[in-house]
Amino acid sequence: MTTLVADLVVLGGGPAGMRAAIAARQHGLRVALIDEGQRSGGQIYRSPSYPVEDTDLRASPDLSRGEKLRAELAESGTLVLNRHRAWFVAPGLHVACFGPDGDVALEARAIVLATGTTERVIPIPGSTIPGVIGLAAATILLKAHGALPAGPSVVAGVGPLLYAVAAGLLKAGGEVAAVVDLLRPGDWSAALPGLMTRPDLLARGAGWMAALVRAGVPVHAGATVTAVSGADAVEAVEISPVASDWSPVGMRTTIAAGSMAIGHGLTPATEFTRLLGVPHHFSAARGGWVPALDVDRKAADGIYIAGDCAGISGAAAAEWAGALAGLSAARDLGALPRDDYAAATRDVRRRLAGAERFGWTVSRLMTLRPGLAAAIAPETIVCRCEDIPRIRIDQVTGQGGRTLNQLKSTTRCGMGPCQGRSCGEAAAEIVAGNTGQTRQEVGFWTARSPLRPIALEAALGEYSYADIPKPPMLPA
Amino acid sequence: MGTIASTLFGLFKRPKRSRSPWRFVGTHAHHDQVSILVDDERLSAPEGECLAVALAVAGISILRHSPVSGSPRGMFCLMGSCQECLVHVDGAPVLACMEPVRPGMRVMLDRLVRERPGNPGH
Repeated sequence: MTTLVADLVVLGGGPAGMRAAIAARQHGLRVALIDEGQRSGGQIYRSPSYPVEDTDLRASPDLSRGEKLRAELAESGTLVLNRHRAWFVAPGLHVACFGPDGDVALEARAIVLATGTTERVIPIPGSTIPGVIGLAAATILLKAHGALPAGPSVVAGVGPLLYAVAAGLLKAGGEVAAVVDLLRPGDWSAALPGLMTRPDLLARGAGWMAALVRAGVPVHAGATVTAVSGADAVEAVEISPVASDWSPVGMRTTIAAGSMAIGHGLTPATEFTRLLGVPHHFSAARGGWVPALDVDRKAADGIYIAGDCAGISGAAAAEWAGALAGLSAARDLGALPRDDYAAATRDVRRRLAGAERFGWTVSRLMTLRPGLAAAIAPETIVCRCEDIPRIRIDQVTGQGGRTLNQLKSTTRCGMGPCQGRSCGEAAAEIVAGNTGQTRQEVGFWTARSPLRPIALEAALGEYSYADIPKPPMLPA
Repeated sequence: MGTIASTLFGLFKRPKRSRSPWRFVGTHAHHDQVSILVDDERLSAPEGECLAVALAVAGISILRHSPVSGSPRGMFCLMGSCQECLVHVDGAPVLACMEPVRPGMRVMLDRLVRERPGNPGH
């Protein structure tokens, strides 16, 4: 067990975390950054596991931005703990994590939480079959591992990632059986004014669409996947048109496939902010639960939050929010005088606001509509860890269950190894729909440490039986 | 209407799409192949590559069976969140999607489930 003392701990090495660490280091704070990945970058700037060549850098703006940030981080003097998984955080501030060389405990005066997102997948029958992966997973497969899933692939769900994945699969030499987009062209064109603030990203999107048209890939707009079939691998996918609330209506068709990438938007990863007791409110347009923050990214004394874990805003906004959080921490720890802080953050705030305009347009586009979860068939596995079907959740609400935590303690839904990260959104949507409540009323899983599976030794530390104080025996 | 049109478009224009296995894209140089053991069988995998991906490319997409239903499971989120890709490496439970390939690593699949009487695979 190693104990480290820092001024600032940054939890998460994506764009927000990296920029927070770099900013704090510029003002002399002692900074430790904890990140699960082999190298920093989070998911959007995830570092490839194959050797990177100049052609790769030129071809991928995300890769070159990631490499640039990693280099800045390396030069900043931050203690970067890659391959470390944080599992505990408490005010004080105490952070516990474990890595390849053992357990690490950190004491710090401030923390920046930049834990990013989890992908939301509303399940369908067969979504646990090997070969069904998340949209984000498909992106990682292509960008970070240079690999293709079994073909042909169906790419389904909502958001720009759909087209990025489909075009990426084609570019890598894979085959796309179909793109199944919940949104209609009208939804996309309504979002154009907001999207036009980033003409470079719009152009990228147009390029993806053109690639799909060139390859003759069928694009089903206003449609969803309703079932996956196959024994040990994906064999076929069933598709249906949807109504404007995303409920499947009309004729279903089946297409042959070898894999499916599915994703219904991103949702902020709020386990650590919850464990710290930060209040959250539900915002459908921002992807789910968002923490309460002031304009300096501060949630409470010593606690700062940046990036998508504070509400889905995109990578550019994450970078600026991270820089702002790092500067706010430096100010509050006495390393940056107030006047200098105001000057330093003026430009950052302006750029953050600009980036949020685009990011929030995209997150609004991906807002979950009620028909999708309402249509989850009774036999569909919702909690993958504990194999809990929708019908079990219906039984609980039928017997008077009204909150997500009641569901959890009654059925074990959310108690498995993933701790509710995979099923939380779908389960909450079902409970809300069944009981006529809002997502705010249904609530979210109570956060409990450890937030990642750990070996028992990590929790016990050097505690042994001999350490237990034993009271003296009573006289006979 | 748009859906009917695009479905018809798909029916008429779609070229035959053949099945293909999980594979690495040829354009990237991968790290050197090293030898690892998977359920005591020798396998070749690129050093430093994500174990879950290396296994899938080697034809192993089923990493475990659900302890409750016995249904086959494989990688899903590829980012250490869903816990579906849990395997044993050198005696310790790890997530295959977060584990880099090392020469001589001993991977065991379905370890926990196999050891429980009455579960599939026991």
